[in-house]
Amino acid sequence: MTTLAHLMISGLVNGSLYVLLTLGLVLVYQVSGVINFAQGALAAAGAYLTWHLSSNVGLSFWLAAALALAIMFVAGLLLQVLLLKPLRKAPVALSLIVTLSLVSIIEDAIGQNWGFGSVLFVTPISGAPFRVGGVLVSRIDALTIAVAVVLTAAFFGAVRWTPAGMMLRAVAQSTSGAQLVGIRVGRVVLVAWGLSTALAAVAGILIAGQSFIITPSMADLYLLSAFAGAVIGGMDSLAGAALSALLIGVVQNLVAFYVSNLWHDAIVFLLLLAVLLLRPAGLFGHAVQRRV
Amino acid sequence: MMRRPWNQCAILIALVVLVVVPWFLDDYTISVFNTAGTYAIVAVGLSLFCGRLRQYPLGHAGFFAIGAFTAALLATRLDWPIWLDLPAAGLAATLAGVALGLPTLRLGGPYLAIATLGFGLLVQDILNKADWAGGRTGVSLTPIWPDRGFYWLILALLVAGAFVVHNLRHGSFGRALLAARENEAAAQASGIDVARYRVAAFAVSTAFAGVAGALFAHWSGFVSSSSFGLPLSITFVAMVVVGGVDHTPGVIVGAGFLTALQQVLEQQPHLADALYAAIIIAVLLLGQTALARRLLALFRRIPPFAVGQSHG
Repeated sequence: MTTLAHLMISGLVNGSLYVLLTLGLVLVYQVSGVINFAQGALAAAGAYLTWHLSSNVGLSFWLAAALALAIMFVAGLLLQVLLLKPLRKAPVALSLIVTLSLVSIIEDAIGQNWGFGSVLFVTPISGAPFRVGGVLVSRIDALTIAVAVVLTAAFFGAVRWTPAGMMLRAVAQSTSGAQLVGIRVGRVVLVAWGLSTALAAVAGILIAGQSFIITPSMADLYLLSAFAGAVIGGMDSLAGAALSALLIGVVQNLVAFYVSNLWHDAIVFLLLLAVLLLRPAGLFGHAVQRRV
Repeated sequence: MMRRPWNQCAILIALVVLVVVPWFLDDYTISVFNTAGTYAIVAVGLSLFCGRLRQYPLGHAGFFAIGAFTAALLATRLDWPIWLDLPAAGLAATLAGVALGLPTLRLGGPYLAIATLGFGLLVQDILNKADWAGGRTGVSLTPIWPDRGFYWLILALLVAGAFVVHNLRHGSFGRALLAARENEAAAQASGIDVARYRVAAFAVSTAFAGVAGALFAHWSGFVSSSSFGLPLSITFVAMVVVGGVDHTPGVIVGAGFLTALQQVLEQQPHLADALYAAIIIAVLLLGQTALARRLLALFRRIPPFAVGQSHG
């Protein structure tokens, strides 16, 4: 029973990380139709920045993390303005190639700067694990889940109840409609990119805190699961995507333990295919318009 | 075609040059040509699907890998001759393509992109773990001909493939695909089984990728899982897009250009991937500027370089 509980907890931890990546993905996709394949690389960039600012520059860890988030937010704005905005009228495939190409550019840039090998990532989070009903939960695990819960709740609250969130939903529903009622679509897309890269950076820092060592490609496998979450939940449903991402984390862990570790990543893809086959709109999405 | 004698003339001249040229080249250059040729076969097959449907699969390195490993294993373990294992590789990739295509092609852009991306990663993941197939350590083949011999085989298959794709694109098959893209309901109403056509176009592209993978295995003499990652999938799509999705000679030129670029960048091993990616982005962005549009429009008047334009 405790094994199962342990597996569930570590599944929830992974799931929380997927949720943070998925939210950013779906957010950008909904307002601009672009899939940001560089989300994982951006997460790694956030982790490396935090490491650089705390270990090399000598700032305190939390200050370094906050600064890294701010930098990544600005980086997201720049990516949108410099690379993706010029392509907004071109076929969406071009934007996909750009975000895919960004993966190797970002990962190479990290490697050039700070080495392609692994780097030790030290966090001030230490101390005895918490005991929750007979199960030990390490502090970093607890922090990961807490951060994911708080950010997700804040995010959904903002989307639901603030004027900015309303604009965002309007743009997601119809770009031209939003434009007609005077919403500055370009600005909404811009902010979405900033938020999405900042969320990626949060995920990156937490992943780094989990694994203690970081490499330029540290978040690539996480991203695959996050994508699966987005698709399984339905790309047009933020809540569905978040919930699916969480579930994937749990299922992945259970399968890896009870079936075989070999299936840890393969199961994600099989789930994805199964959902596409049986319920192409995603578990929580609305019916896809094209039916054949 | 008959309306454009210049077109045919230029293609004929290019062909003659390509047939004759290996006698004047050193082994290294020929190997670059062979790489470009095998990639071009994939890109040409992909251009039928991308060009007519405007959808972009991101996992063709997976089908390329399936073809390469099928051929390598059949040739080394079962001693199959090349004329048997090439079609077998194509068939294996096609079966995988149909299996993937049936559930995913019903869906629009992002879903297809993600599902195929996942497929490519999955194939590499499986190969990495498949010790029986020598995935990670690799499989070595004894080349049956010198590089020059493969050059002509690759060229012949590329020309044949381009011919097939050209005819499919401009025949009833391509028109049906075009109709499916422009107005699915109307296409359906006029009796086009849209889903079947879409899967068929995808299957063609995977068959090309499989055969090209087998060719790659044979002429390079070595396959391992690490050569078939996501960057290769992106390269295939980039070749199609850079060359002009609907124009077969353009796609081949695109494949040649990007392969040459990769070779040049190899001199800078650490920066190669990033520079390559940056140049692709730069090409795509420059293509959006007004100047580039004007240049392209000018280009289109010169027959053989009808970049990005169909003449069906």
